[in-house]
Amino acid sequence: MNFFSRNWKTTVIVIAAISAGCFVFEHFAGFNPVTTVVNTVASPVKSGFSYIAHSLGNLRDFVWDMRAYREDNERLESEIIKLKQDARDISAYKDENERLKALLELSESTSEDYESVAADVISYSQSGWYRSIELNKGTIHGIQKGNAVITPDGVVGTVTEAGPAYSIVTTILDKSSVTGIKVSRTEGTGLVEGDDELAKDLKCKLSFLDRNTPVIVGDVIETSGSGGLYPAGFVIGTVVKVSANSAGSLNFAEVDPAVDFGALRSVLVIVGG
Amino acid sequence: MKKLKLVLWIFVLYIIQNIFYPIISVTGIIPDLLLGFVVSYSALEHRFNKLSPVIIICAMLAGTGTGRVFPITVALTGFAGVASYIACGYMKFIPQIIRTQSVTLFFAFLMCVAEFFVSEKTVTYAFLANTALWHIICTTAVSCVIYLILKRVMFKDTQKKLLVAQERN
Repeated sequence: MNFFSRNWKTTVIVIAAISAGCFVFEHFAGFNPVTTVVNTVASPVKSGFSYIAHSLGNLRDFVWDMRAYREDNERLESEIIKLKQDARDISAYKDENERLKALLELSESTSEDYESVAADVISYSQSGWYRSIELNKGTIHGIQKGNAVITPDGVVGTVTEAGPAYSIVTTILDKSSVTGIKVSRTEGTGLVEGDDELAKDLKCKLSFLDRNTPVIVGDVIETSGSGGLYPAGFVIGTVVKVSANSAGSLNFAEVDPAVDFGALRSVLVIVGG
Repeated sequence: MKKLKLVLWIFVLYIIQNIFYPIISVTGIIPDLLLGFVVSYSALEHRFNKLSPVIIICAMLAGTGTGRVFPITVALTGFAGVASYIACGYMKFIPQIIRTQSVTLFFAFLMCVAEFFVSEKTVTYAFLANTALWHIICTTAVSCVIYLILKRVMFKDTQKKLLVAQERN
């Protein structure tokens, strides 16, 4: 390459000649020979590298998409958790709504005969077995000692202590509770009372039943209205077991209360009638 | 070995500029890698008989790029290489990297304006502010990087020999 040695002017002339020559050639022939040769030779190489470039581009897009998908995933997971929480809340509201509706219907159905006050259960007896419950209303709402407490399912108990803004209700599970009843099927009368042993299974004892009216498992027990504690016709529970003596006479029966004391939230207190 | 490195440099830069340009594009502007290489190499290679074929080949390759105007690109790239070589002999009080990148800046601007003028028959302020300015900045920045890498990879021994020769003198 001595032609170019230290003679940059020669190089400049060569470059200018190449540029001008290719310009003139392209002007008259319609194509550039240098570009044609270089692109023809380089085309297979460019194709190969282009494939690699596209693959790398796809990989980069995949990674970016994965990041976007992960962010979407996290966002959607948060939304799902929130929606599940909302669904649980709605279910709880629905249950409460149905419970309150039933209580309202009961109140309306008894309003002609009795005056009632709705109250919420705020605590249960410390000894367990739901022997007594506490309500959030008291004398200032019209509740007095001796008032009957019911739900749409059945009888709960009676008010045994009434403060200004609270009431203590002794349930039918308590051994001090005695209720006059009748058997729906036979109209036979008797007593339902609480029992310490049966209370552990949330059951009551049916005793002193009329001898001429036998009771069987499945019989519905309701209040008779005698004794003045409860109005007549409110369901107490269902007979689940009958215990007879050697002569075949009834000793006592176990009654499963209609009220689910474990899920008791709202009650109706009959304050007048 | 040095010739092989040189061929690889030119080949890789040509491929990156023509195929992998999305990697190097900045807001749609593709810096001129071959221009940056020619200017940097010309500044570092002190033997013009070795330099001139490299300038001519790089200029022609740059001219064959897609969308380039061949005569303008070849001429300006070639002149940039020669100008960079000449500039190394003058104003030695200015660091070589600054002299080199000044040449890159000037010829990148010329190339951008000339190609736009050929296609649009005019030069607008919007083009200068939005396209030309970014093209100059990107090309000069890339040229800086190429210069530093070239100096370390291909001309480290040459620099040592020069320093030794200077000390002897």
